[in-house]
Amino acid sequence: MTIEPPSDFFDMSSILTGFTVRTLRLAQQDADFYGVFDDVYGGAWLKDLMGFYVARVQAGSAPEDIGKAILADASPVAETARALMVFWYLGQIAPHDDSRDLRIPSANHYAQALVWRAIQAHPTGVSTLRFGYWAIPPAPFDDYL
Amino acid sequence: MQTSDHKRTVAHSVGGSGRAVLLTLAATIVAIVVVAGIYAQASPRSDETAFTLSGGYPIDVPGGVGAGDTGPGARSAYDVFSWQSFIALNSPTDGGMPGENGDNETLWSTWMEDFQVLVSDGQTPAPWGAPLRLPTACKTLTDGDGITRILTHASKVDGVVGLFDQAQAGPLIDQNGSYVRYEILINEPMYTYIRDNRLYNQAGLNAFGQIDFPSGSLDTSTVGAIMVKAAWKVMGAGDDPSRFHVSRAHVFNQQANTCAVETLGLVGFHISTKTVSAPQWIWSTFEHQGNAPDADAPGTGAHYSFFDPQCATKRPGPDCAPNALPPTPWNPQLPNQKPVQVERVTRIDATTAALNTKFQQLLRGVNAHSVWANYMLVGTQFPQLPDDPTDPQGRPFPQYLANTTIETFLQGRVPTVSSNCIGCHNRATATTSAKFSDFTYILSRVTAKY
Repeated sequence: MTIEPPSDFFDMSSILTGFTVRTLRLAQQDADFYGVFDDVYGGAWLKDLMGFYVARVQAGSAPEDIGKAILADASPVAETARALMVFWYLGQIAPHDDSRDLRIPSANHYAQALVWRAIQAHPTGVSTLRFGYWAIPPAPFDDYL
Repeated sequence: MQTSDHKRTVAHSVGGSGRAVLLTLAATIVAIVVVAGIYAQASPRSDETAFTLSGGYPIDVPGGVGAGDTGPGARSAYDVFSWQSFIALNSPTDGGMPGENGDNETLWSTWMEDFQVLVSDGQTPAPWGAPLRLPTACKTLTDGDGITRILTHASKVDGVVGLFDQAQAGPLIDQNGSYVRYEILINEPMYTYIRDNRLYNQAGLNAFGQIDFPSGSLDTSTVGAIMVKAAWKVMGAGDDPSRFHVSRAHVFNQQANTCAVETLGLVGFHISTKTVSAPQWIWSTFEHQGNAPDADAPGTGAHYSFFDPQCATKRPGPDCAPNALPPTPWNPQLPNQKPVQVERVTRIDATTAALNTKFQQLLRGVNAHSVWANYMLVGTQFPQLPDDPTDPQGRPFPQYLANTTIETFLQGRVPTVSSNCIGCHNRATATTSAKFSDFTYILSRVTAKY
């Protein structure tokens, strides 16, 4: 991680993904979602998204209302927000101006993508569980959030 | 061999239930403090008051994760714990501070070697403190009188009875063409647990339930299980023994059944400590400062044990590829061994490096020429969420941690491939049914059936 992400980035990402700030911070610890999004998708787009979010926080909007506003059809930041959600969930990203250039920046982004937690599973080839775990039901879904 | 770590343990019990027992030791402890001008610190914190020297075990990090720090990834309290452990374990066997009177025999060197506990015949291990039994090949040496150290391992994962070419990684060869040697030792609580529960043979392992080594507890002032792994190099041409902790040892080559007496210098040191706050253990790793440069800042003029700044000029070709396994066959007795060109892939964290400077200064305060001030903490891996039901690894931080002399070939940031202490040891099992062995691989080498 080259740059410490602002706390607003995690708060906003929590609203967009449904995962807790703690889970997102732990994912960021192992794979730089913030810095890579800023670099690959485009810092100006991320800045606009963050500005949109912070303005509504300062206006006293509820988190759920902020999420709806960000993703509304007429929202100027909806496209950026969806790209960020895809990145968090799949570890997959493309430049804003070239959506065909999809990439998974690193094995750590693949492993830390939220999709694995969303399905109470682990990435193919990257398990933190112990021998014989397949005989034990996964933890409750809420524990993964 | 003595169990002199007992007094270190009880020294930490001051204020606990063992207060009365300690009175006879109090004068000694006070003398150490006064003479050295330092103050014992019972448990690590990340503030300035923690930067003191003490011969006592730190036992655990009070409050566990985030104690005195903020948020995930706060490492300083654990790094202080590591340094305090390093100083306690490397204290002289007869008391005092490391380096106080020059290089010293260390407390941990009195512990039991893994091959003393996991005896090949499956019988009850020798009592705690029993002297080493020399291999026959070493008994005939005339210059080995008084030596108590035997080194056999030629790679981190080589078994007691394993051969060099069975290693999962490979040997590390220094600039003089000598193989690095390793040893694994355990402390008395860990030894006692293995002995009392008969975990030294397969029948005992199968009969026993869940393996759960004792945890260090601040509440009861008891030290838990501790394992150390030391990496040694033969002191040879270009090496300055006055800058290393050195030891004369029998170096046993199982492949050829030969033995030699060598002067060895400590180049790498792992400390694994099980505590109440860290059931996944706390993993501390230290190195000699002269091992190898950072990959992004290779040195030019300095002498390194495992890096030659002029390698490309002297040996053009693949030999100078960084951190590459040496060519096979791996046999320390073969002539013309090619050194491994070692580089540190991941720089030591800036806060850890700053802490290194402070503790090195403290050690030089004890003795301006202390060999111990030439060692540095590479890092400390610990579980951030030890009770996370989704991850038995407890979300370790940092994600990757490697010692250039012990995980030379596993450095990097690739999941399941690069060195990750807890991630790797979380897969440790014993018995044919793969019973979890509580983060130690030594039980996986139990071969005796009964």
